[in-house]
Amino acid sequence: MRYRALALALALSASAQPLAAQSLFGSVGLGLPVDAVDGRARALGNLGIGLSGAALLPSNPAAAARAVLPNGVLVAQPSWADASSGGETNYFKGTRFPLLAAAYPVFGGVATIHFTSHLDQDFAGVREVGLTLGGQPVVARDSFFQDGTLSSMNVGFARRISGETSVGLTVGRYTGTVDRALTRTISGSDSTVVQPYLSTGSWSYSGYLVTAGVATRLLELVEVGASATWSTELDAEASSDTAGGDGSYNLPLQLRLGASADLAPGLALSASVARADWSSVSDDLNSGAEANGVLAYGVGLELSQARVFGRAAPIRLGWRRSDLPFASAGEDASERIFAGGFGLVLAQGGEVVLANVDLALERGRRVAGSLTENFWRATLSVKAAGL
Amino acid sequence: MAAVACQEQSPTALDDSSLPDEPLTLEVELPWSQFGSNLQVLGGYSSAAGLPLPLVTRAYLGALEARTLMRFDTFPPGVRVVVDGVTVTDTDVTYVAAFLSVGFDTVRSVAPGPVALEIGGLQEEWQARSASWSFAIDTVGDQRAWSGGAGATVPTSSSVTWDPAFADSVTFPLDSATIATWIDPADRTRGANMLTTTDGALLVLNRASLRLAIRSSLADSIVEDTIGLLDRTVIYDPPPAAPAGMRVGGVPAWRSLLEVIPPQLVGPPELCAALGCPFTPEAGQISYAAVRLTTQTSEAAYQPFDTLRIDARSVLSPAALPKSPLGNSQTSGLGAAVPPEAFGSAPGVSVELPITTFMRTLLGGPDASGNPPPGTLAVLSASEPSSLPFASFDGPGDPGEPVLRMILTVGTSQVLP
Repeated sequence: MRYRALALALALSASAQPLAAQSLFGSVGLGLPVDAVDGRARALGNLGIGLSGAALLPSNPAAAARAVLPNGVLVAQPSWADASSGGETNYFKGTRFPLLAAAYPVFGGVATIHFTSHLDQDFAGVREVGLTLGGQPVVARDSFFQDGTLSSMNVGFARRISGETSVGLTVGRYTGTVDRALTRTISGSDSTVVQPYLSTGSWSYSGYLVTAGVATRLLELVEVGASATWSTELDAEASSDTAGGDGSYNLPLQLRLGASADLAPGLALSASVARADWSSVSDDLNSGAEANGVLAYGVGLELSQARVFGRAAPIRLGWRRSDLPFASAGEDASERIFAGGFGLVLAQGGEVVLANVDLALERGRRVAGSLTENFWRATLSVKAAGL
Repeated sequence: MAAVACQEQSPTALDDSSLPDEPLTLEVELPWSQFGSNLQVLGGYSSAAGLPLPLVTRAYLGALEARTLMRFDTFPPGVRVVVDGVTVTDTDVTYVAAFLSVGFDTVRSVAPGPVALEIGGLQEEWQARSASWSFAIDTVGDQRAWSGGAGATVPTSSSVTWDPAFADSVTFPLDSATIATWIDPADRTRGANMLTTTDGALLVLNRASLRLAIRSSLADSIVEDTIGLLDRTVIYDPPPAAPAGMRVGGVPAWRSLLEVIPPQLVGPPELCAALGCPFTPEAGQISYAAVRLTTQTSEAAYQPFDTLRIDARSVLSPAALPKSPLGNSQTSGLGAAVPPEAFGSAPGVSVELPITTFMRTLLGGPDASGNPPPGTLAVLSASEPSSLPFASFDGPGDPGEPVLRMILTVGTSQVLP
């Protein structure tokens, strides 16, 4: 059990870091992908593309062009999960801050900066091994932990190129580290004091990524967005005291497409799909895990005319399914989520929302072979503008 | 400034399929020839004046004779008496009688029956830290033999018989002439020699004090006062013979020093299969290391009558031996407890001294300043001095020569997922 505290002021000057793992699937391959989206997109089962209105999402850089005031967003995401396999169940929980972003109108467009999480690699494991030492049976306990995350810091610029169409481009650098440590402790039946054995390794990630996107409104009814993220090779450089070597991973091109349409006044339907082929990473993995192509899609409904205490409080429902890129050999891993949530406008000046919060609550299940992981996840995003 | 605090529980794998390969833990034992060299046994550390409990013996185990020399603290300069209702200090006093009270550790003592004890006043200058059976003073440039003969022989001033069945202490009545010789605090001849004349007795003293009867010149009364010891030491005979094998403890204390060579392993087969041989372990791969010694019977006069605690420390400056400073205790200062019979009637007991920290330091190479790690190990008593008897162990070439036992854990390096 770990206790960590995060000062918000520190978060503003550092890349977004998950405070703890949220899934046992972080133990496979390069870990569990993290979608750096806000509470609204989460509640709609959306992949961060194709929603109406201004947004500061790294997956939809063009959406920032709709901002008229300087603004920022912070996303917090606690989760509670239980993983079971073969009749055994483990419980865990964690909180991450997957997105911290700000935008500032300048040069006829909007400049942006994002700190985002991409992959979560945290997990721990324990195994017990029977040994015979000095003619006596003893138990060795291997405790392993992996503490890692892949994040990025991105700067970008978005601009309207016509009344209904905007484009955006962000350029970023991957950051983050992964630390691995295996400790073997031996408890003897006599008074022998056996020192623990410790094997550690630490690596730092580096690499670059570019995301380009476009967002437009068709026929005054349908909001459409598309984006693509291209990455250089992701390099993992071992620290000087790490015996294990460096690594390099061929990250896939990520393609996203989304749309939302007004079905009726105040009622919108959204859908999004994303595709990335991670299979080329398989050759770079030491663990024997398989990397697969990933298809993700989701749909959602937003009722935007709901009000609470006279303020706009849109209600949202969503569903999403995603393949997970990494799984043990011969297994497919996937995730299904039902989501719901609402927003609340806290301050508004005319038609411009100055402050609002969006809350999503998701109930999901990840499955790979005999391993099933059920989870609850809350996402709270706070947006402020006009600062 | 806003702050967020979270309580976290990392996900724990349900099986070990996602864990790194198991490290290999194995046990190896190396004979002396593969890890040790240059055994030295050095004596002369500490003094009998520092023995926690002094003792007197006669022909103990047929050989050992020991006497306890005592020097009492300064006599009180006066007494406080009440004269005409006023309390005054009277310095014009007369010491009319004295009684030396001595208590015995009845658990550690060996008494074949009633034990005859004698005490006599010393009549020449003596020094507690250097006095021995033959010499009253034995320092560099000043060596003086006892004038009355070896063993600080002096005329008997008082004698008593202690019967362990009835009491745990005795009291020697002392005459005023003896007391008079102990009054002057500047007199360096002050002292008493306590001995036993009962063969086979070994009495361990746990307290001694002098009870004085003092008469005041101002009041018709006798006042009692008690003073303790200023110095004490034990003199004994015969001196121990030259060591055979390893010797630890005694008074002055013995230490056994051995040079430890970083071991090169050529087995066991599973180690060689995994990492190749010869294999020199790294510091972090030493999960446990210990020197295993085998007890042998100490010479008759010096066989322990109580548990001995054996420690091991690194020798920080071998070039400065025998006066090299020592490193920290490898046994947290407690030492390995060895029962007395292991050095007497039941030799051949294995005693394991953990030296894990020593071995890790040795295999870790030079420190940050480039200083080589200590490679010499001192095996010594956990406290010096602890007892007159000493511990004896088989040395190199003996059937129970020292063995280095190690538990190694070796594994492959951590690699990226």
